[in-house]
Amino acid sequence: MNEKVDAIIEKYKGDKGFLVSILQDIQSEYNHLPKEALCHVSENLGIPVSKVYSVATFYRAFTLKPRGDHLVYVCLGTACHVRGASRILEGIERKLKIKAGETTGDTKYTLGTVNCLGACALGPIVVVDQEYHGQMNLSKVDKLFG
Amino acid sequence: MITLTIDRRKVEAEKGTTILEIAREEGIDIPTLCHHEDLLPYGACRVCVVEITKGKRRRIVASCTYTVEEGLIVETNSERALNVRKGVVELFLARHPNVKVIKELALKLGITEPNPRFNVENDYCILCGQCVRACKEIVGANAISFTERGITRRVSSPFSETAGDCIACGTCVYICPTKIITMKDVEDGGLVYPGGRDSLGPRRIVHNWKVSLEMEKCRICGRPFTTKAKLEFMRKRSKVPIPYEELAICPTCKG
Amino acid sequence: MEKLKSAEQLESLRKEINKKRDRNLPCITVCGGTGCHAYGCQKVVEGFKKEIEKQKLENSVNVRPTGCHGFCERGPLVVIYPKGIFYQQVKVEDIPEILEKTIMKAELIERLLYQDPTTKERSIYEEEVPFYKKQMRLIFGNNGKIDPCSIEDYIAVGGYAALSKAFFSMKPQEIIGEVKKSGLRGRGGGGFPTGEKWESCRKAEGSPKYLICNADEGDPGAYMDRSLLEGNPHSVLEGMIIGAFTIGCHDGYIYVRNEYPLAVKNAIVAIEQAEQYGLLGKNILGSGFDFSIKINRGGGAFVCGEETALIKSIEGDWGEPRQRPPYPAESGLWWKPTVINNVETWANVPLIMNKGADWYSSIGTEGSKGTKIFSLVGKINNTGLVEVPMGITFREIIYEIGGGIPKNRKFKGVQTGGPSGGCLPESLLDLPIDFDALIEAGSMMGSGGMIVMDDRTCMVDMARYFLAFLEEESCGKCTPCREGLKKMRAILEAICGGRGKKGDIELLERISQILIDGSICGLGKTAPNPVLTTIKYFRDEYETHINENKCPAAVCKDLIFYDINAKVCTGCGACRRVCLSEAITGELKQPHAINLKKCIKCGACYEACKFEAIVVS
Repeated sequence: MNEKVDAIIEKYKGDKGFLVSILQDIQSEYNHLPKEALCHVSENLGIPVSKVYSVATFYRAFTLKPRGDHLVYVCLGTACHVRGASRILEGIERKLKIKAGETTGDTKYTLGTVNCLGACALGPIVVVDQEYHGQMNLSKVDKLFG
Repeated sequence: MITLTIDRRKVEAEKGTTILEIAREEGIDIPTLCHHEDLLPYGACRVCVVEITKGKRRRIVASCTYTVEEGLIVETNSERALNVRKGVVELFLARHPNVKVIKELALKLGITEPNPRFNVENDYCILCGQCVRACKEIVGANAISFTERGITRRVSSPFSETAGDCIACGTCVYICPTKIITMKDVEDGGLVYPGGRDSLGPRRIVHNWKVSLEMEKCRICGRPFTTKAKLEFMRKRSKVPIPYEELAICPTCKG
Repeated sequence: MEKLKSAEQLESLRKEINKKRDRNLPCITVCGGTGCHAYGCQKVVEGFKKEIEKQKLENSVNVRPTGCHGFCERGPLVVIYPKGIFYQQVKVEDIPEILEKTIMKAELIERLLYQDPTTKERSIYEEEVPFYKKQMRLIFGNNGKIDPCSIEDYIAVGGYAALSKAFFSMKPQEIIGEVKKSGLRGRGGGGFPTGEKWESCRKAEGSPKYLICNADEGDPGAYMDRSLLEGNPHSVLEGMIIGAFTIGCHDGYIYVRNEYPLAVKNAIVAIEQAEQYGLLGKNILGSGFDFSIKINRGGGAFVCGEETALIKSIEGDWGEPRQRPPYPAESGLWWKPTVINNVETWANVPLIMNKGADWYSSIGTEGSKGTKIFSLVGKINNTGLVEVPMGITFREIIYEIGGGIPKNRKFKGVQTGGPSGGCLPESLLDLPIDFDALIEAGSMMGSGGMIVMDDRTCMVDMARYFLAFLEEESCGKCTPCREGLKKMRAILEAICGGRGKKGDIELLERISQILIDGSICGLGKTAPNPVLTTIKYFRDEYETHINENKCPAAVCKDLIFYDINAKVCTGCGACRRVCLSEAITGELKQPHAINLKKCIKCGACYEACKFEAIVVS
C-alpha cells in the first residue's frame, strides 16, 4: 500500500496544498480511506496525523469505512426535492433495509445522498455506479433493486 | 498609534491590537469563552462580540479577532451586541447546562435556565478549541484535532484511537475551561488502561485521548515525575543539545 | 503544433481554420451536457458517426458533440447547422431518417420539431423555439456551436481575440477601467463589483499574487457553472488570463466541485490545449507574460464555496472560513493578495473586452449590467439553463421562457439564491431581476438557481429542507451557526410534524437575528433567509401548521392522510398490489379503501393509480 500512496503523492510533487486531491486519489484506489494510507500520507508529507484525520473527516467525499460494490446516490437537490426526492429515498431505504450513509450487510450496496447533480430536468434522480436513472418513482425503485 | 472610541471613550492603541486587548487595558470587561491570551485569537464562540461603526457601516464583530482601525467607534454593550451575546449563551446553556463556566456566564447575563423550547442536552466539551490550539501552538505536538463538521464536530484523537503524538504534558488538561480533560498518574498502568494486562509500571493516563504513557523516574530521588515521551520530545526540540539523562531530573531535585 | 508567438500569428491561425471549414457544409451538433448524457446523448453521437461512415457521407456532413444547449427538458438535443434546425428528444432510431431526409433531401421531420403545448405550433429553427426567443445567449450561445475539447472550434468563433487585445492594445489600468465602466458584478452570489475587486488586488502589497476561479457551485438546483465549464472552458480560461495580466499574477487555480468529473476533464483538456498553442503557460503569445493554471478539486463541502473556506481548502486544509477583514484581495491564498471570481464572471470578461464596456453596460438595469444565466428548475415545463438580460421579470422567465407550470397548476413561489436566498411569492412575479431588487425583497441573486414551486409545495417544508441542508454543511466553528441552525431545524421539524407551538415563529425570528449578526461567514449570515422570507410571504401556512395541525399543500407527512375517492375508484386493484403495508383492501371492480392505521404514507398507491382516485389531504 505504501508504494501506491507514494506514487499518488509523487503525482502531486509532494505539494501539501494538494492534500485533498491526494486523498481523493487514494479513495478512488481503495474505495475508501484506509487508516494505514492516511498514516503514511502523514509521514510522507510531514503533516501531523491529527491534521490528515481532520481533513479526511471534514469532507463528505471521504469515507473511512469500506464501501459496497455498488454506490447508490439519491439526489436531494432543491429541484429534485420539490419533485418528491425524499419519498424516493425512503423507498430505497425500505427496499435495501439500510439508511442513507450505510452499507448493506452483504456489502452489495452503499446508499448515500448528494446535493444536486445538475441534471434537474430528470428529477428525481438516482445514480447507481455513475449511471443516471431519471424520473424515478417507487415502481422504478422496485425494478432497479430487484 | 491609532485613535478610536470605545464605549464613548477616546483611546489610543498600537496597530495590530485587537479590540479585546484595548478594552481590557481600559478596564472594560468583555466576556470570552474560547479566548486565551497565550493562544492566537480564534473567534469561534462569539461571546465577545461588539458593535462597531466604521464610516456609515455598522456591524457586529468578534472583539478578539478584530484589529483596531483609525476612527473606529466601538460599543461593547449595545443592544445588538448584547442580543447576540445572550443568544449565544442561551444556545450554549441548552447544550451544556451543567458546565460551571457556562452557568456563570449565563447568570451574569441574566439567564437562569435553558429556553424551554430548546431540546436540552448534557455535553461538557464546549468546542472552544483551546486544547487543540494549545497542543499545536504552545506544545507543538499536534496530537489532537477537530474532526467532522457542523453539529457533529468534536475534538478527538486520530481515528478515536490512542493519540500517538501525545506526550501527556498536561497542557490541554490545564487549559480546558470545563475541566472535561483529565489526567492521572497510576502506579500500575496495566491495571487501569488498557486494563487486564500484565503490570506496566508507573504510567500517566489521559483517558480522553486514550493515552497511557510510561513514566520516567527522577535520576536523583527515584520518583516517577513525567513521561519518557515528554522528555524525548523536549530533547528533540531543544536548540542546544541536552543529553536525556540531564532532563530526567524532577523539578524538586533540580530546584 | 508550434506555440503562437504574436497576436498576428493568432489571427492568421484563425483565418486558416475558418478557411478550411466550409460554412455551408451541414454540421450536426449534439448536446453533450450532463442532462443529455443522462438521456444517452453519447449513443446518439456514436450512432451518427457510425451511420455516416456506413453510408459514406463523411464529405457531406460533420458531427460535432458540443456543450450544453440549455433546453434540458427536451434532450437529447440535435441542432443542424448552418440553418439551425432544432430537433428535440432525438433517439438513436431516428438517426438514419435524419440523415436521409434532413441532410440529404433538406426535408424536415415533424415529430422531432418542438411543438408548443398550447398553440400546437411547431418551431423549426432554434431561435423560433419559445424557450430561446426571449433569451440573450451572449455567454452561453457558443456552448451549442463548439466542441469543448477543441481549441480550434473556440478560435474559429473568435476565441482569444480579447486576450490579444488586452495584452497588446491595453494597459492593466485601462483594462480595470473598462471592467469598472462595464458595471460587471460578481456572478457567484455576492454581486461585488468586479473592477473594484481587481483594482484593490492590483494595488495591494504582497507577492506573489493569485487568481482563483470558484467553480464550487454548491447551491442545490444550480448547474450553470458546470455547464459553462464543461461546454466552453476556453471562455473561462481566456477571462482568467486577462485577469492575471491585469492584476499581475502568474499562478491561477480553478477550484472545481468534486461532483463534476466531466467539468474537471474538459477543463484539463482545455488547459493542455491552451498551453500547446502558447495561449497559457510561459510567454503567452510572445508577450513575455507567464501564467499557469492548476485544477484543484473540492472534497464535498458547500461551505467551500465561501471565499476564505475555499482558500483554506486549496491550502490543503479543511474548509473553515476566516474572519474578513482582511479580504482576500488584500490577503488571501497563503495570505497573499488574491482575486477570486465565479466561473460566469470570468466568462463575461472576454465579452467585455471584445465588445467594449459601453455596449455591455447598455444591457441590464441601472445597478446590474449584462446578462445572467439561471437554472430554471422545479415545477416548470421547460426545465433548463436560460440566459437573460438583467431586468427581465420573473413572469417573463417562468411563463414565456419556462412555459408555465406543469399540469396547469397554480404558481406559488420562486426560490432564488439557493440556501442563502429566499422564496418570493406571486405578488412579486413582475419584479425585475436585479441584484439590489432581490436583496430588497429579502432574497438574493445567488449563483443563479431559480426553483419554481406550485400549490403542491409546502413552504414550511421548503424552509425545513434548506435548514437541514445548511445544518449538514455548516463547518461548525462558530456557535450561532452550529447550534442555532440545529435549534431552528428542530423547531421546523416540530412544526411540520404537528408539534408546533405558539411563539415558534417569533423564536425562529429571534434565533435568525443571532445568526445574521453573530456568524463568522456568509453561510451562517444568510442561512435564515429561506426561513425569514417564507415567514414574511407565507406566514399563513406557518400558522395553519401550528394552530390547525394541517398542511395546506398536502406535503408534510405527519399532517396528511391518504384516502380513496369511492366515486372515482374503478376497483382495478393497482393500489392494493403496490401497497407495502397491506393497508388497502377491496374486491375487484369494487371501490377500495385504505386502513389509516396501517398506512405508512409512502405514496406508492398515489403513483400507481391511473384514475386519480387516491386523494391526499
